[in-house]
Amino acid sequence: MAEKTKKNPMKKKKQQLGQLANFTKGIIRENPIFVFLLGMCPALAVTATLETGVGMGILVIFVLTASNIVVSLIKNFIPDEIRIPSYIVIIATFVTIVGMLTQAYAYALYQSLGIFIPLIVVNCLIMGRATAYASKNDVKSSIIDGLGMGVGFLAALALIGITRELFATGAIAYGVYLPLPFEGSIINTSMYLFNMNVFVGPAGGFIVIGIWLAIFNARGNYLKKKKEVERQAWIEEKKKEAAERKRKKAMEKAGEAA
Amino acid sequence: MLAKLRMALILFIIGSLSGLSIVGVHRLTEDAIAHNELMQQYDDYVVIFPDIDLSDLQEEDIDEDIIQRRIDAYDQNGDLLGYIFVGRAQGHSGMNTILVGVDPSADIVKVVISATDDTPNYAQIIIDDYLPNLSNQRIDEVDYDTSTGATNTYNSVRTVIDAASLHVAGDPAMEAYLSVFDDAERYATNFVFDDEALEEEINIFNAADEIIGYAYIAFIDDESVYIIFDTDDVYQATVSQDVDTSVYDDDIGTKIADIEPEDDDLGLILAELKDLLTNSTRVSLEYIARYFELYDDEDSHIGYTYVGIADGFGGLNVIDIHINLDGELIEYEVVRSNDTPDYINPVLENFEQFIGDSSLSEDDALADDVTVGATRSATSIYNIINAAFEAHAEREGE
Amino acid sequence: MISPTVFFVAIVSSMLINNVVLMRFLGICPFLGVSKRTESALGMSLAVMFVMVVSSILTYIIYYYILAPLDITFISTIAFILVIASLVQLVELFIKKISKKLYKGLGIYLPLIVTNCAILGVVEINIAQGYPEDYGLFNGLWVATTSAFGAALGFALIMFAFSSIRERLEAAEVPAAWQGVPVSLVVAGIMALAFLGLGGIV
Repeated sequence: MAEKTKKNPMKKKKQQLGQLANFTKGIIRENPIFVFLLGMCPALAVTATLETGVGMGILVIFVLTASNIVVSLIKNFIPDEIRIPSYIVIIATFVTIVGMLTQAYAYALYQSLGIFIPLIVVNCLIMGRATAYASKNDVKSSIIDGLGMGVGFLAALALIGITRELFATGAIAYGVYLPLPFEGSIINTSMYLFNMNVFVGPAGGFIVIGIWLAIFNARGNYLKKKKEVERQAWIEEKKKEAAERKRKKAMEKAGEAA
Repeated sequence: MLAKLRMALILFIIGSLSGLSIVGVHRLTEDAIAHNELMQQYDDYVVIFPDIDLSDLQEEDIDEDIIQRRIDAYDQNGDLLGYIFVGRAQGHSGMNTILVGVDPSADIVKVVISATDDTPNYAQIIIDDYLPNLSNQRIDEVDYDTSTGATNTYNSVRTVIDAASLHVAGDPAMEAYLSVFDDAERYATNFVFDDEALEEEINIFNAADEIIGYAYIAFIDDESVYIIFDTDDVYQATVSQDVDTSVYDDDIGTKIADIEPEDDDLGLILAELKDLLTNSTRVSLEYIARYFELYDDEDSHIGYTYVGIADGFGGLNVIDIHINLDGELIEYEVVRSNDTPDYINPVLENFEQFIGDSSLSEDDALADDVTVGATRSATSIYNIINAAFEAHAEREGE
Repeated sequence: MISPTVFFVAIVSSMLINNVVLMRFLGICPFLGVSKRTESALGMSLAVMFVMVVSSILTYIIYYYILAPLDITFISTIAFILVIASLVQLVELFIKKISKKLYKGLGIYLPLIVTNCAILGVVEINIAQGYPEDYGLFNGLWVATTSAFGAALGFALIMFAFSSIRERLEAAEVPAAWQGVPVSLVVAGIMALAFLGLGGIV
């Protein structure tokens, strides 16, 4: 750590991201929901419970990765004029396929997500990654980018889902919507009397996401401040070093002179 | 040009590939999806009867306005678990599909809302707080909650349960009539009495729509009692769940005029009926139920009183029409009406112009300036008086 | 003939009770992104209204007169999004041709509309409602169109109301972490609470 802080933190961004960093960037630093505010509709609509949020996350990971692969594969054949329509068709194809698979093998999830499955087509996250990343990078990094962003999206939905379900029902259930071989609940406070149904509804969705965004903002502000302090410290240090060097040089000069 | 063709070709290739892959996946998942959709329907059956044998479902299409089908549910051993009625009724926003599970003894097992467009939060209130109360109640005597906070959704449930109850419990009145007349097919109310104990006069019809008997519905100790006569006023039976009628068993087959009623609850009603039936003659017209002979103070026969009944604005209007031997209207008398007095009174006054006449002129009787705002009151009285003239003519003809 | 109350109920329920933004969570992106100024909020709503109603009519016809008879309803999502995308293109060309002024006002919002989930969402909801079952194949079209119009009105109402609130929020003193989107979301949550109360109207 001590070594790292000595490097110029401003320069860090310019460094080539390793594959691992490429994957993890989507989870916190470039989280699609909390940082980029992409895909807010599903983030509000399907996060009444943890499971529906996770289910939506899995579908998005699949569509995002698959469309990233295809877009990156054919990026050289597509003229600019028809880029957007081609991407729409590709994404819509994967969404339809995912929809059918969900309907066939996870019917409860299909029912609870409802129209938000076809609406993955217009999820800005997927179109955004296709145009901004996959159309400019090779297949391998596109896959990793898709997975990373997808996991970040899933993590955000899960976080919102946990918050809402816990406040609304006092428990976190599993196996209800996802086709798991078992069902039950992870946490069960049994505080039925204190359930706040408002968190199931639209109002709860808006407020919970607002609160989480504020928390992420607070963290961002804190980090910015810390960086600023670090930078100041670094500048001070450099100044000191420079002064030291000057003094040394002066001393040397003085020594030589002497 | 070439560039445009190239673009079109690329779009075409992308389109076909996407189409192909979608059709492929569709083929793959088709059966599973169909199965899921079917199971979803059955899911609700399982919720109602956990032991239900899904391979042995007997569905019967009913196709009424409300009740769509009935499912007979059997368990693995082939024992009857009960019935499931699938009904549709208007909810808060659109039609709700509601399933009512009933056991063989007509108790509700469970009520399930299987499809609804109502606001989820309100539908949830009903599902969580009010549907469980319905379980274990007899389907034809359900004690509904009055204020639920989601009235429309609850009313749709209520509508479906009430409609289903007709299919389960049968109709006690019809059962009573069938116990006397094997060929009874349907019944209709002929007259509604303005009386504390005696409620309705019923015509019982056979399949050929001929009247085969009469029944009088009375209330004794809050209990419906069906007193049944054949067309010659011969006493047939008194059917009741709890009231003891054995005292009159000896009178079965006797004309009402010859029965000597005892001094008990049923006896009082029989006495009343005896009085009514011996002094009046039945008429089978739509608006006239019966007539009495009319005597003046010196006991000389001056005419007839026709008892008319018709739907007014606030319910049934019962009106006595007095017609003299020459077939002229002498007087009319409102026995019972729930129509607003301010509306019906001018209408009644308007009919005074016909006193002394032996027919009605429709133009004068239903003149616009009189009937405005009271069309239904006016029409009901017009129909009754008209029918009374008709009945009188018929009686003269005999 | 369907009674006029059906249309009234369709408008009120899709505009207020099942408001696209607050109750169905559709069109959140423009709601958070564009609604900073009342003027642009209204411009956006107008463009959305037009595309929503027209695409709703087109997709209804495509779904019930083409896809359903051929038994290929499973490709409806692709068909719908293509209809919306090409419709937006057409509208853009058309507006450019007839009025430069209108194009300046509306033009910038049109490309955004393709990825506005309110449009595809309302279209999908209209199909999922199964109007032909209740009103017949042809009459269902009018109910669906009315619903779409109501939904667009609801969108416009919320965009307008919210942009006015945002204009005042700008001047308010909000803690650093809550500035911008978080406080907007909480305000939207409170608005959604208020709209819950409209549940009993129809």
